[in-house]
Amino acid sequence: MNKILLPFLLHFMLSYQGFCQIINKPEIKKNLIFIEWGGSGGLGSINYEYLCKAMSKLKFSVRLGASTYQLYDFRNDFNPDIIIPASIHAYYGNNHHLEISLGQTFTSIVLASTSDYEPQRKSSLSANASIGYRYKKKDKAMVYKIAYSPIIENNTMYRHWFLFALGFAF
Amino acid sequence: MFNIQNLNNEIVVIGHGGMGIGHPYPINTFESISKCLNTRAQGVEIDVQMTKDSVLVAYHDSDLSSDTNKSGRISDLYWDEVKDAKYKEFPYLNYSILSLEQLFLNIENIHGHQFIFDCKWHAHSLSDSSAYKNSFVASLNEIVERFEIHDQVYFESKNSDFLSKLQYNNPNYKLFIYPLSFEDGLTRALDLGLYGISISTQNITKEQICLAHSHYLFVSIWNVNSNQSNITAINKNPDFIQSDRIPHLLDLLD
Repeated sequence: MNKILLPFLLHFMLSYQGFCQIINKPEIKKNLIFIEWGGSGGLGSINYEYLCKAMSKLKFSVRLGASTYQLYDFRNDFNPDIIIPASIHAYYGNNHHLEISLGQTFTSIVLASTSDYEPQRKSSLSANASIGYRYKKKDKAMVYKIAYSPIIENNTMYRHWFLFALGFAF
Repeated sequence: MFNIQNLNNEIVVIGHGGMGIGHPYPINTFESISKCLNTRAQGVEIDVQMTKDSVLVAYHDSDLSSDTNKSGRISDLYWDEVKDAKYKEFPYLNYSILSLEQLFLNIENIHGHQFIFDCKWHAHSLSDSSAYKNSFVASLNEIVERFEIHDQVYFESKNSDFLSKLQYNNPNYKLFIYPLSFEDGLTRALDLGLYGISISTQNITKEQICLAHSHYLFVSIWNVNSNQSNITAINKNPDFIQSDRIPHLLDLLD
């Protein structure tokens, strides 16, 4: 009896286990929106991140954000500062990840011209980088990040900076 | 909402260095001062220091390195060494340091506003010298004369000797002593025959302001750096409030 049942049970268990793996395998959420305090947006930013490639524990994503310091200039005219951080990210782990990123931030800031003191836009590119920790459970949507995120303003002046981020994956 | 009882029955709203501490525009920059005046404040307080070649500069701290990408004391440097300094408080914001001449050449409606010059003395052998003080007074006079702002300008200083020199130069100048305690301020203001007392809101009570008013001394209070401290300050009935929260203070007094 056992000789007859054993192959059947083994076959059933293995098949069932495989079935469970298929139906329980968490769907990879490739999109992430997050709010970042500090970081490459300056005081903070809102961001979209797309998971480009996932290889077991190693994942790669790209991020684009938006931020401002002020919407109205010193004459109180609508003339917002524009800050657009972009970066590529690599992170390693299951739920707890070590994360690094590199990128550039485009800024267009309104200040007083030093010749006539009228509002004037000054645009520039600055390098951004980060190394830190990302927490995301495979089957959950919430994402938390904390990192050291230095900014190299105008790609020349190094500034120590930090970030904390809270996001929602979907 | 408020029953203001002071020497003019109104409070003059003054921006601390412009829009105040905590605003993306650093205090004493053209952007901060201009924004403050365009936000309907009646005036601004400006920290004033003087370079080695007698140029008046709007800057608060004793050393440029604390707020800008340059270093050194303003009184030790020439204007050419100071003029390219950029504030570095927040990333990507590179606002320039400002001279008083640049400010008054370019600010709009100069005669529609009031200006309190907080004349800064940082412990230093050069700035303590009589020659430096005389030169500082002469530079202030020159700015006032050139831009015809006699009626709109107030001076405040911790230094009685400096205030006496200003007073000697022009007896009509409106001068505030900037004391550590109210009692010290009251004594020095009465002895020197000054316009008033400029003091931290933490160091003066409503009753002490009333006492100063009974001696016809105006009172300007500062360290008003939150919405709650705006309300507390108004209830003390000062004549001037130097606030870091200008829009809120204006809303309260509207």
